[in-house]
Amino acid sequence: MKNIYILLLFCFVITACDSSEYDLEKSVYVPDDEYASLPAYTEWGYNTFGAFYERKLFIYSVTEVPAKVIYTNNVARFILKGSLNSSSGYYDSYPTYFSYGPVMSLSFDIPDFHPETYEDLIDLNNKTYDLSVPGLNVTAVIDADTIDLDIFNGQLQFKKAQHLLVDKNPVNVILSGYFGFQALVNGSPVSFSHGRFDVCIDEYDFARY
Amino acid sequence: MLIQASPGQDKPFRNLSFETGIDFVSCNPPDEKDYIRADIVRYSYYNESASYVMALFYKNYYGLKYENRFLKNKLGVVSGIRYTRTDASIGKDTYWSSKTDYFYVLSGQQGTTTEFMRVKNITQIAHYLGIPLEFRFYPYEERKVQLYYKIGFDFNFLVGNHTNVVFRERAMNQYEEEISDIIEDPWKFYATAGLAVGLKIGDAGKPGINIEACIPSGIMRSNSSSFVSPAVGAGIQLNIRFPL
Repeated sequence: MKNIYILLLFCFVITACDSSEYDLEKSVYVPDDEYASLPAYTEWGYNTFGAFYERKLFIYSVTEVPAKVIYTNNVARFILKGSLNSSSGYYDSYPTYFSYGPVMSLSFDIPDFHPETYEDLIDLNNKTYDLSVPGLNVTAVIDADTIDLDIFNGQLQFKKAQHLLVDKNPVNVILSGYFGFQALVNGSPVSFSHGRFDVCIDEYDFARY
Repeated sequence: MLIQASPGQDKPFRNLSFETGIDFVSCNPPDEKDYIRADIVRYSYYNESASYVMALFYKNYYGLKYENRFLKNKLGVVSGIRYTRTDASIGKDTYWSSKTDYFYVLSGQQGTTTEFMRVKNITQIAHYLGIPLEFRFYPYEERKVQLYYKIGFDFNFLVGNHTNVVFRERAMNQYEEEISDIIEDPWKFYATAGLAVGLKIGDAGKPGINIEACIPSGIMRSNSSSFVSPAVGAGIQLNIRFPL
């Protein structure tokens, strides 16, 4: 009898998993026409991002949640997390299948933005931020090393923010846009170029504490 | 040497036949549709398909045809009228893909709201009236079972269509019309060309049947965009023949 209960519980769990929108959480890599090792700019919520960090590739990975929005201490942060890979070589054509580089995240402070829930992220639609404005912090973390980026040129653009409804039910908010900047790291200029993102933020990817 | 008239074959045969047939046509993967969300990684290195969504196309038809023979009954010219029903469908290829048997259709974008619907299958059914035109070559002498070859064409005009959608959630059935409006329109006109090899069974001058194995070799269509893109296929045709 106990085995039957376990079997029923197992069936319930399987059914529950099937009803989730797991497919929308997966990343779909569509290569850019010009920079094939970067994902194309899309607005479908493909959960991808990518940029060149100097001559390396900062790109989403299959093991990390690609984007989160965290609101804490009255500051909202948009965080992209993936890996830092070599941007040349055999793996260029499918850059995220093998996440062979160190884990990397890039965090952008979003000024004057106070979301209560993930649904408030829709207010970012068509917003562009000048990253060289003092007080707008951008931080990179590579493995355990935090790098403060003293940005002197660049911007973060939320080209489109969309409520996504599936079968008439709200599921998440899609944020799509571009980023690119130049910064000083230990006195030397570095660049993040051709950055683009197309990510879904749902209730679990948004945190306010 | 093959084309030899036998005694008694000079009088041209004429017959009326009822036909029915079916063609199955494979289709190219519907990768580039701007209303279907891709669902797998698209590797540029292999240029693999964007999604595990696949397309199918088949048509069945019924018609009435008249055949007149020329050149000492070595050439038959056949024409008449034909009704054709085409079924074009797009669905998830669950054999290769993940466990999910549905895909996401972009059903609307308005302001800052985007809507997907989860769909298992979309079938576009179209009805055509057309004119077949066939040239049958009878190289061998007349006998009870006779092999022949055919070049066939047909010219078809749309007379009606509808779309069936299988949603993942039954409650979404009320939105079938929305999906119908999103997908490409059926072809207003299409023409096919094909080759066939056939068997004429039955004595000349008596009722009989013709069975043909067909290879549709080309489809010309009026619409630039298409719900499915037929590639190659094969079919079979049956004729019940009555002499006149």
